[in-house]
Amino acid sequence: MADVPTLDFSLVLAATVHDMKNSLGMLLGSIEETVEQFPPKTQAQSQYYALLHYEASRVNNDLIQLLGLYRLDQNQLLLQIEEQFVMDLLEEQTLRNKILFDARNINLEIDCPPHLSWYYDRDLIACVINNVLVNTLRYTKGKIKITAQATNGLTIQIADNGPGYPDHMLVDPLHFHSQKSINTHTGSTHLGLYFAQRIAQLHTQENSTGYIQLENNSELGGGVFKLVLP
Amino acid sequence: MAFINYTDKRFLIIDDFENFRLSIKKMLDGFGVSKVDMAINGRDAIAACKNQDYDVILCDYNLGSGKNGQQILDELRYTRRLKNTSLFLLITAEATKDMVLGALEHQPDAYLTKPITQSMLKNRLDRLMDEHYQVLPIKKALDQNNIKQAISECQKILKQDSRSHKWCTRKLAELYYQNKNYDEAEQICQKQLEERKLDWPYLTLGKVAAARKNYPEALEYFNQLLAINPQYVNCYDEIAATYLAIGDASKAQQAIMTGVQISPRSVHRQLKLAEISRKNDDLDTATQAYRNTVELGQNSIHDTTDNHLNFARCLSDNAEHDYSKEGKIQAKEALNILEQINKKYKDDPKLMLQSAMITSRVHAGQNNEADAEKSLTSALQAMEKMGDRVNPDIQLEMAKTLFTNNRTEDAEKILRKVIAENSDKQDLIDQANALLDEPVSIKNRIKAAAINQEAITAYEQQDFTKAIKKFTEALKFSPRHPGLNLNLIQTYLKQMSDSGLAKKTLEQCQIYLNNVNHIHASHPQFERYEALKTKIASLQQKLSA
Repeated sequence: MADVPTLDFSLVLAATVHDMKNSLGMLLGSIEETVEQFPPKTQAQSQYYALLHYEASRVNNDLIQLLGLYRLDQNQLLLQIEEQFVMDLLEEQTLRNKILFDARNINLEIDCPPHLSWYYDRDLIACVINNVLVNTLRYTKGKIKITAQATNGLTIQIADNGPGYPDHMLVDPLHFHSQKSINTHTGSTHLGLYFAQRIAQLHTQENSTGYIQLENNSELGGGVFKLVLP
Repeated sequence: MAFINYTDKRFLIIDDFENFRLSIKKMLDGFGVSKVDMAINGRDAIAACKNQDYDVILCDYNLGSGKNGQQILDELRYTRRLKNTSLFLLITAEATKDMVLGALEHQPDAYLTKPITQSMLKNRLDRLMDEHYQVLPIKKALDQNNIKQAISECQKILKQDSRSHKWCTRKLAELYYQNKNYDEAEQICQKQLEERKLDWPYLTLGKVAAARKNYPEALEYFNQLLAINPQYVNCYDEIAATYLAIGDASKAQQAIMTGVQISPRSVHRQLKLAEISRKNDDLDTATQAYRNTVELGQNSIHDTTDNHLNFARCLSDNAEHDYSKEGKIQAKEALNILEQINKKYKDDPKLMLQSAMITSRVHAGQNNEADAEKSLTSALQAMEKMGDRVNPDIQLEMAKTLFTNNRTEDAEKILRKVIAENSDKQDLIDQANALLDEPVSIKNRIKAAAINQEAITAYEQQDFTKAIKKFTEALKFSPRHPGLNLNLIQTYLKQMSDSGLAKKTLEQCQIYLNNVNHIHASHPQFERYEALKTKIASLQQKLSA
């Protein structure tokens, strides 16, 4: 038999993830188009659409994160930090999940000065925010509040009125790579939080570095995800 | 945010897929746009922009064969078909690194990532239009090339509370620089840096320093920028320009090469690399850069005949006396390019003449004497026919071609004519002298220079025997080089002052003097030549006395 070249598995992974991500992007687009062309007539239909959209965007997010972490690991991740309007980012990410918000009748409040601008990588931070939003949508009991303000760096907080984060996550939210953080029952890997922290850390300014923080007992009563960028 | 009325806005959608065009059009219909044109490729798009000013252009990056979205943007901006008052949005499936950064020359007003939904498109457009209308007076002034007006509009907006503050600050710094208000430009940048260490103020500060001819300071600013953002491609262009201004072409090439690595799709940067590396005699880099320039420039405004000719010239120089497989392939590639030019421009006498000269050199470089002679004859006839329209560049290239065909005397005749007729143009005189000094292939020139360096080291270590051996070896590659010949004579003289006069050695020195009797009073080595000539003559007298 002829020699078969050994696989560079990391490369295969990256290429495949890339391909799947494109497919999922198309799938998500089609779902949105379908909803537009055939608006749901019953509550059940609307729930189906929401479920389709929710699962597809979860997979999409996981893949974007996987590819992002791979590139980070290979030093290939391109960081483009530019000045952006924070409100644009928050509105875009909530619009992206419009089907979910509508289907679950979420009361969403955004508290952000309209001219507030900050310096960050638009695509990467968008992915972080989107991931937190999708996750929050899963646990909230109907209310989500996003707050953004700039004193000592930019702070974006996403709060809900759900049960809050479990204690072990509050203590050590980033140990995704430890075995016990992978819960096969719920499917949670904490990959999203790990990704969020890595991306936050890429944002530096002189001596400060970005970070994330989890808290409970938000003003809405549930958990708060906090992202701070210098 | 102000309510945006889309009913009177004119849109152009550029995409090769009908489904996509229609889906975007439907979304636009949804927010009341009635004037929507569509184009399926770059040619149609550019034609559409000739007839019509658009408020917004939505262009897909990937348009199959032909121009891509970035090339359309480049061409529209370059030809000023796209006004500052129009918005250009580039739609991408996946923002790949090469693509996005290749776009830095002419940046679109926004990138949209597929999949596009109506609500996201509306949201994005509303914001863009809102910001766009706030700064419209500035953009209008820019369209009229009225920098002063644009500056005063920027100042006006900066006095108000506006979302466009940061955009205006940056624009104002750039406009001050363009208008040579260097102090003002500097002030804005320094103030911005006090607030936050961003990249762009360093670029402008560096450009200001370079404009004031303070090159070390300029380089310092550029390096500070790269410490923050090593991917800022335009910074490498400025670094290269600064090194060229100092006269360090090798560092300039290094800088531009880094820029090319980051953004390989930029035609103008590939061309810059090709030009600088060709000047540096780095034929491999130049050949590859010209190849990229020609390939990337296809179907674009950058697709010029000069680039094709220079590509062929590089290939020709690279393949000269290279009879290996690789050399043959390069010679063949050059001939293919020239054949295409001959077909396309058979009515352009100047291009045909240039092409014939290169063709002749390619053949001569591969020892195809008959073919070389044939092309040379037709080139000479074409030059004759052109009469007064022959410029010094053509004369210089003809001299080079004649040398390659071993027609030394004819070549020298032309070069002397160039020197005589252009006494006020030092650049041309230098080029003519360089050809007279070293009518050899670039590769031989490089070899001779390297061995010359070894010989000089030996001379400095008082090892005259080794120095003589090395200088003689270098002369095999570049027999007429004045520096080499005079160095060798000087070494022989030094040796004789230790070991006594020798008749044979003096005769040899006379031969080396004769090698360089083409140099005249304007040559930098002329004084040294005269001094050594006198010295040899007196030594010969002494010996025969």
